[in-house]
This record gives sequence, structure tokens and C-alpha cells, in this order.
Amino acid sequence: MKKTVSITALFMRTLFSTTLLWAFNGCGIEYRDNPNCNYISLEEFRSNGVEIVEPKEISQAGKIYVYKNTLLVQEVDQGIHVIDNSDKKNPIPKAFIKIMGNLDMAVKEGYLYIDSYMDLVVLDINNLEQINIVNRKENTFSYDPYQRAGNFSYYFDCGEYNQSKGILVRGAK
Amino acid sequence: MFTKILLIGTLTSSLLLAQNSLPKDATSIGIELNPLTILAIGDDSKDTAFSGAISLFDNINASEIALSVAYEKEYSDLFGINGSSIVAEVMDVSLHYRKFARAKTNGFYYGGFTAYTYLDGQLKNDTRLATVEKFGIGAEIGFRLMKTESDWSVYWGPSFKIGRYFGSDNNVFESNSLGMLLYDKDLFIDIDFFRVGFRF
Repeated sequence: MKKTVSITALFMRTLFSTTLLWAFNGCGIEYRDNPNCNYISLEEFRSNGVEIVEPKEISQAGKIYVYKNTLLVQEVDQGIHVIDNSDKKNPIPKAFIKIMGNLDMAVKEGYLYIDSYMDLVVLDINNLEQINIVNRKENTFSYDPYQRAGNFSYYFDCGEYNQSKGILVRGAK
Repeated sequence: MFTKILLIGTLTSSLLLAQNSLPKDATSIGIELNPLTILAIGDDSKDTAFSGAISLFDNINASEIALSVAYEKEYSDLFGINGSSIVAEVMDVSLHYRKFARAKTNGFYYGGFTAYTYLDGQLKNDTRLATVEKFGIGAEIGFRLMKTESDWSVYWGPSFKIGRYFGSDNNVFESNSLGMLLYDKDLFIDIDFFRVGFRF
């Protein structure tokens, strides 16, 4: 004869096995670093914060600036694409200026003025084959750890800023 | 995640296997979904949300045991800088015992439940991420509108539950998803109004 049990007894049995499973699984909190939110020291920021590298694809275009035959296209929060626009039908990417925390740019007499978080950096773009950093004026702007683009912060998911750790940057170091 | 799938699998199997220990005509199975869970999904195309349950009805004693699962995974790609990254992942697995007020598995019920909750996301006031696993118990009241005479029935099952987690970390995450708002708390309350099911 088949043995039957009440659903209450069944619940108690299932609850017991569930509790064992949960206990086995463990409860508590485990912390880990957010790979999208990193801190770099001021020294590292000032030595590697602006870099001239090989041209790359534009993924998210920001501001566009035209200076003589040079087209400058901002990559939001990443840097500036330098494009030789001498032949309007065939623009040639010449370089990418990697800039940490760049929001704006201006050009005057062959010099590109950019912001890199709180610093103002000047680059000589007269010769696109040889772009040089000519000056960096430190702490020209106030540092906003939650630097904003429009109404949004780049670092909206990075939690509270810890000044002692340095500059908050998005993405891998 | 493997242990969570194993947990749900084990509980589901034990519910289905347990049906054999009860008289055949005395029990029926119910499968429920909350179609409005889709509203919890954010803007990112990879966002996922699901809420459902499997129930075992005891038609003689007018009671029910149910395994309920709610899952939500939210991504963010606000500026496309790093590609989508997970901002919140929440899973709540709860085991319920419900006793109906009437002699049928229809109408009002009251009951209790135990819950296992997994939360993963951005910590509040901190740049780090964290995972919290916690265990809680609670009580609930609800309603089932179904045909109990026929072999199968579509039913509607709103519920109100209140519970408390024990010995765990609470209020630690950014409230950037519905799951975090509901479960990253010491005392949790959940109103599920749009749950529909199929009993067979």
C-alpha cells in the first residue's frame, strides 16, 4: 500500500532540506573591485594622462573642430582623433591623442588647448606627423571627480569619491 | 551561479517527486508567471527579468507549497565607453506554505515562507562591487481565483508578503534596480498583483 503524507509534513521536509542547502551555500558579503572605476595617482596621471598614439576608429564622437586642413573629432572622455582633411573627399586619420578626462578643446595658431581633468594641456599640431605636448598648466580647473557629460556623470556607478586615492578614472588603468 | 541553478533544480525536483507521495487525485501542479516583470527591465538590450513559481496544490487539505523565483539582471552602457557592465543582479528564491481559508484551493490564503536572496552590484558610498547572500523568513496573505472543479484552470494569484532577513548585510547597495529596492533591506515587503498561473 502506498504511504501518503500530508502536504504540511512535505513542506517541513522540503524546508529542512532547503535550509541545509542554504547553509551549505553560505550567507554573507563578498567585496571586489569595480573594473570600471579605478584610481590613479596624480604622478601617474600627469606622466601618462596625455599620449599621442596610432589612429583608431571613432566609436562615440563628441565635439568636432576644424582648423585649416585639420579635423579634430573628440572621443567622449577618451581623447581626440586628428584627421588630415586636405582632401575633403578622402580624409586621412593621422593620430589619436589619448587624454584622460577631456571635455573640451580649442585651437589657436597651430596650438591645441585641451582640458585633462583639472589640468590645461597645450599641444603643437602644426605638423600632424609630429604632434608634441608643449605645456601643461596644472590645476587650472577645479577637479570634479564625477565629471559630467550633459546631465550625466561618467562615474555615476562608482560610488563615493576617495580623494586620498588620487584621480578617479573610468575603465582599465 | 551554478549553486543557485542547482538549488532551484533540487527544490523543483523535490516538489515534483513529492507529488508521488500524495494521492494522485488529491494534488495538482501550478505554474505561475508575472508578465509585468518585463517593466522592471531597463534600457540595455541585455537586461533580463523574470518572476515565476511552481506550486503543488493539496486539493483535500486546501493547502499549497510553492517554489517562487524572481530574477533580475541590469546592465549599464551609459556612454558606451567600456561596453555594457552589470550594475545589479538579484535573485530571490522562496519556499512557501499556504493554507486556504476555505476548503478548496481557491479564495484567500495565509502562509509563511523562507527565502534565499542573492544580490550583486555596486555598493553605496564605495567604488567596490559586492555580492550578498542572505536567508530570511516571512508571512504572506494572498488570493487565488481559479476553477477547482475542472482538471485544469488558468488562475490569478495576487499576494502580499512581508519578511525579514537574519544575520546578513542589508542596505549596502545602490538602489539602481527594482530588485535592489525590494531586497536590499532588513525588512522586505513585496506586493505581487499581476501573477497569473496554469493549474493542471
